[in-house]
Amino acid sequence: MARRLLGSKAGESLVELAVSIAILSLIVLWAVSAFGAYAKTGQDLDLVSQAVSLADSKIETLKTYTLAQLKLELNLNLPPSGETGVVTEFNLSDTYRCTVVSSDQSHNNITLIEITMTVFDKANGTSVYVVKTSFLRGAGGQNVGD
Amino acid sequence: MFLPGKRKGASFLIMVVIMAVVMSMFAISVSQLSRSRSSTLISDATEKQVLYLAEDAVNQMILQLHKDSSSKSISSPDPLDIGATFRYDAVYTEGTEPFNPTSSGTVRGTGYCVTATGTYSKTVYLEVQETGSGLAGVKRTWREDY
Repeated sequence: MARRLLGSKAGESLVELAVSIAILSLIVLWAVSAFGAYAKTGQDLDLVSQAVSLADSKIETLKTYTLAQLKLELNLNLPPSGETGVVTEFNLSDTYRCTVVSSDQSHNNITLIEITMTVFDKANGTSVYVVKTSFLRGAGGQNVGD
Repeated sequence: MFLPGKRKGASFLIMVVIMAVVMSMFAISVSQLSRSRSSTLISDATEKQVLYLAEDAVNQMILQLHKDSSSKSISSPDPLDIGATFRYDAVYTEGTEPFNPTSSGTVRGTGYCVTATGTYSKTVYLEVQETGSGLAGVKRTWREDY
């Protein structure tokens, strides 16, 4: 009986089928997880991309401001300059808000306003993008080379 | 060896192995695409950060020249508040490259992002003219380097 069973080919195909299905399942699982990671990366990057675009738009708007408008927008109240670490908050969209930390310094007729802008995701309060730049205004408050 | 009707399971196993290889290649392609998309879009954000840093460097150099015309270069503090991978520097030269020969000089500000894979930088040039109240920016242009 045992010899007959051992020598028999019956059941071999079934074992092979089971092994095949197991291998196939593992590969399918891996492929699905790779797709999942791809979709997640896409979503995350779309969020970062939106944040970058909103921050960029805000900075480009600030660039067009005169010295008086900039100081008003960024709560830099002391005339003519000398403030550091002044924090202003802006609502960029339904999803994002930003905080701007500003400082200003002047010499003769020229004023430099430095800002560090951090964009936050409103939903979870995490920082998604941070950028540092400055604006230079000359005599009369006009832009210098912007 | 794998004749039809004799070793159907083995034939199926071969088919599964071929499918597994194809699906693996597909999954690898997807994960590579994901990685590539990630690095591309992150560099879009980095590109903006570096450009704004370069503009900041130029602005700070102009203010520095107004304060002390003998000081012809500046560099960023280390680490910078937006991240240790970022830095900037600026230098003033009396040469007119890349502007017209009538300008007084050029301020060249560069923002850098230093990563394990290399350094990405953008350089902003500001043509400056001597005026009654000191140097004033006239025109900006920029270029990028990898």
